[in-house]
Amino acid sequence: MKNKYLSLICFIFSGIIIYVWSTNGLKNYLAPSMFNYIKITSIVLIILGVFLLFIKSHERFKASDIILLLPILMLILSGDAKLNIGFAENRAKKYRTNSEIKTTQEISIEDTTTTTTQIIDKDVEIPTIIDFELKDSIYSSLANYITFPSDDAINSLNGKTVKVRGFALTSMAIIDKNYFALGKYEMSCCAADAEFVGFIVKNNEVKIENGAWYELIGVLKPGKDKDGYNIMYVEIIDINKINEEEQYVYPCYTYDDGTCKDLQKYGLLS
Amino acid sequence: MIKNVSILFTSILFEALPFLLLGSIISSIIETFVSDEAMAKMIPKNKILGAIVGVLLGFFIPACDCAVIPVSKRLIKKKVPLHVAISFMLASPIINPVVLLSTYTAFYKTDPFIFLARLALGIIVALIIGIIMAIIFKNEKNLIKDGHDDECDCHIHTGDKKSFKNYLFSIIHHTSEDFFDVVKYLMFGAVLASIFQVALPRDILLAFNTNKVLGIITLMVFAYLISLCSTSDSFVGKSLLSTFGEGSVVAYLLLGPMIDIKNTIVLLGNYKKKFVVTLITLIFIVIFLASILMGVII
Repeated sequence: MKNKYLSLICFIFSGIIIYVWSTNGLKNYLAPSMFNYIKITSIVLIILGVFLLFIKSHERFKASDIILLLPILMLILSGDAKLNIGFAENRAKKYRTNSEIKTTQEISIEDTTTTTTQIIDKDVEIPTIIDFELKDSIYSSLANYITFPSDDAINSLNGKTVKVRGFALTSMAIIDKNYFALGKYEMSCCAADAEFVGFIVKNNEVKIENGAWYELIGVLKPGKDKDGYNIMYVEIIDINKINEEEQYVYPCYTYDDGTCKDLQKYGLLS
Repeated sequence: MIKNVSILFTSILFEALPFLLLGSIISSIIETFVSDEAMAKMIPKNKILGAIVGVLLGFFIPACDCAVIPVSKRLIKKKVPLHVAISFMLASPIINPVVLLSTYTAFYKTDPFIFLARLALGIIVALIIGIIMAIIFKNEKNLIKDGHDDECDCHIHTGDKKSFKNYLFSIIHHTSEDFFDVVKYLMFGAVLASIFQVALPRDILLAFNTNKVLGIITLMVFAYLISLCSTSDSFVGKSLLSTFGEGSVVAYLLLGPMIDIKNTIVLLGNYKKKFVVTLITLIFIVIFLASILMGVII
């Protein structure tokens, strides 16, 4: 009798996977490199379920077996499977090798450039050539490289232009009040390992809504956090609100037949 | 928060299911085709050599921390010595090729020491814990939890007619048995892990990072609570490196694959409590000491 129930569970598990797969929702839970594994699992579960119908079992159904129905409830509660902004604020990226941000207190980012331009001039010309345009396939690699630069990279990055799309975080405790973060989630395996990845943006004039999506064009400037470590922040040239996009980006090799060709254009190793 | 927990639960389940199923299939193949006598012949009598065989099995059977539990349980049921099964169970999630590649990708070019430390210490810790557990439980006859019935209607046992149908039904039955034995507890564990992932503020980690020793303990507890799979914890570990330093991150990278809250629930559902508690305690102690020693030597 129990095998009939387990057979049903196999069909339910498989049905959940197929439903999420068919509604193009797998990308909200898994990195693309994992898609084939879960698709094959759905097929194997169907086969297992069919065979279990023909195998007798003397085991009895236990109350604890009800938990096998939990995935149905969790899928319903997931809704559109978009992580809310609180998750990003908790996962705001800890800064890279040479910088330490004390999240219990705000940092003040000290400008090391001599310019004091802080006003966003609406007549400023949008540059025709963008030095760094962050496509999804190279988003996390470039964002990490730029925001947390090595000592050697700072001079080459200073003054370069960048174009990036992402959601804004204005209320992270680690950010000085005149700055916000713009970025996406980086997922390497599944949503459970998602980390926020993006840029620190200097903002004195524009009202930025926490969690809203923007496209930003800006200039890279070197800065230091209060512990003296190098960061690059973005000074805004132009910023526009956009419609919500895909929350996640993935390691470049999952996009591009195993290689990260676009990174080579920037002289970065994949 | 409920929505985030649900999303993370589903993602953990989707990530674990394929490997759990694979581990169950491997386990059922071992049960169907490998007799206790054949298994005994393959394992050296010497404890250290036997533990090394267990570690090597971990390299050739690429089981993640979820999948490895049904396989190791099957090995113990097959009367494989405990030090072999435990060494396999602890080493496989770290040294299997997929995890080695992800660790290499995350660390080798910028912090090669971390990659090498995870590999080397992963093997050494697995060997040590396997041998210690075998000594502690040398007189224990049965470590598997009562109620896990070895009898089946699968029609294939020693001396039975070896037909394709019998083999197939045996594999199906044992796959189902092992898979559902583990997946129930995986769900409990995934719920807990998801709650911790959402509710635990990352700021708290920094509050405890006042010295190297506390840093190691903090990241070990963090690894235990967030229960990431061993292929993805490398990238999270990399993001913690600047704040916590090498010793703490190595401890994080060792502990997570060997034990976490999700696997604790699964182990408690399949093994006796005394065994599980002893194993977890040993894992924490040995990894802590290894990380401290590494910090002193380097």
